[in-house]
Amino acid sequence: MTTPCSSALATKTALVVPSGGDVDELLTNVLAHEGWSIQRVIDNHQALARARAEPFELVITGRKTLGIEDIELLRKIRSARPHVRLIILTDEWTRGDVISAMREGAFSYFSAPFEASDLAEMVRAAMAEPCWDDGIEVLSATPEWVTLTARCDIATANRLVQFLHGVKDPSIPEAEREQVITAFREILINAMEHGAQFDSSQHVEISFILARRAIACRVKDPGKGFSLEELRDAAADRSPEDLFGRARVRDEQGLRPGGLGILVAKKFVDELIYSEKGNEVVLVKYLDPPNRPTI
Amino acid sequence: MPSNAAVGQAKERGLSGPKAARLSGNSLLKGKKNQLDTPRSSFGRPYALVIEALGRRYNRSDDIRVVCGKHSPTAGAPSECKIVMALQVSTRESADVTILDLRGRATIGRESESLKSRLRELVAAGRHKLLLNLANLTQADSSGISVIVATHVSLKRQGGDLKLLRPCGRVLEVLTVCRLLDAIGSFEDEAEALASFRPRRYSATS
Repeated sequence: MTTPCSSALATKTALVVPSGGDVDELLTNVLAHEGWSIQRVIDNHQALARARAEPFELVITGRKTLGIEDIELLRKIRSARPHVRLIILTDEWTRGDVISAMREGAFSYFSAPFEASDLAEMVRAAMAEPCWDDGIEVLSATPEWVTLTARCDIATANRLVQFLHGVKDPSIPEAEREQVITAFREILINAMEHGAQFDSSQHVEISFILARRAIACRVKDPGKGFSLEELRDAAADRSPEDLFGRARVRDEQGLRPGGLGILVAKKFVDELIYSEKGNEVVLVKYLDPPNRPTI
Repeated sequence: MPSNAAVGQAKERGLSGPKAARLSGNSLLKGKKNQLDTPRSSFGRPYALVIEALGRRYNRSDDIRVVCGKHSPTAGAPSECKIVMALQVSTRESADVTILDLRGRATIGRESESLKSRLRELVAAGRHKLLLNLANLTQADSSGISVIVATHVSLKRQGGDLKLLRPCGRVLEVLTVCRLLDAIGSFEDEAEALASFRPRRYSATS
């Protein structure tokens, strides 16, 4: 799984397939401000030819091509330039495309509609990230069940979350999808922080399962786990007064308020189930309101 | 590409876009632009363009809409021209209240650390009445929220206060589910928020 990272980048050039309008303007400004030069090509065919002819640190596709065409470009470019960072922007995508993009080593994936701030931040991350090749590895994937590992660092967590934003499945209401992603991100960061102290040599194992009436995510961290008592305490449905009271005590001890991540996750999904050891958690969000259990 | 991933792709193709109808972004954006009261920036056009663009959402029909659907801060440009920083904090004063205009995201890592250190600096400098303008904060996770809660608690203990202005979108949702909006104090109108820091006066007839 581990691939050597590219060495320090002497030249910084991005190859960009235009998307048109404001997206191009945003990319130009973000890249130029960081001192990157930009080469533009009109389509993926030209992008491949240019990328084969000379090295680029970053490639950004245009929105007008299909996601699957961008993945083909990614595959071909990476066979010639294994460490290139490629960000896919597309108006036309499928769930399978997003999985393939992760599998083929895309840096990130944006399916329309997307937030400009998210794109700017991911471009910045692509420019700054010194080592990312083995950050996410898809172990197995069907459209309904994906299992992968993610390196324990914040940048990898953010990349993974952006891939999830790329899966805009029409069978999942947007609001509920966003809530699952928010909850998942909190649990993922918790796993990386408390289970591995953000040690980038360690990985968390993650599964996503999409059933007809529910979404489930399982996150397993490499740590020793929490006691169930600690978990119950952190997940308790506290009033703001309780939160402030706890924050006051922790403030006096020089600690930040704790347990908010689990609290937020719990609020956004229907079930949050920990294993006995406390280093594995399953989040469940029901998509069929009449069948939801009373919590 | 895995063969099983390819299954059903044709079916998915026609369904790839969200069904929800979207507002006509261009007209909305123009409307919001008219509301802006941003002082002239000393920074160049690229800076202004990116800052403006960061508040946009791109959808498949090229419409643009303002994500928060609210206001841009009336503050000046940030003191550091670091356009792709994930969080920018600029401050301004109104009497004894310090207003912090947050732009970007307050999430775990350097963003929430940066927010924490900025708030600590202000508190250490004796600024004990803080108003956080969240109108352009696009994301806050538990780490960012915990910085806000910790500062609120710390200031209360010192006789000060911290309140929120115009939270929206994902940030509003997180604050709402944690039931922090009422507990901390949140306002839609800046003048009203500033007035809330002043001691209440009661007339003889009230």
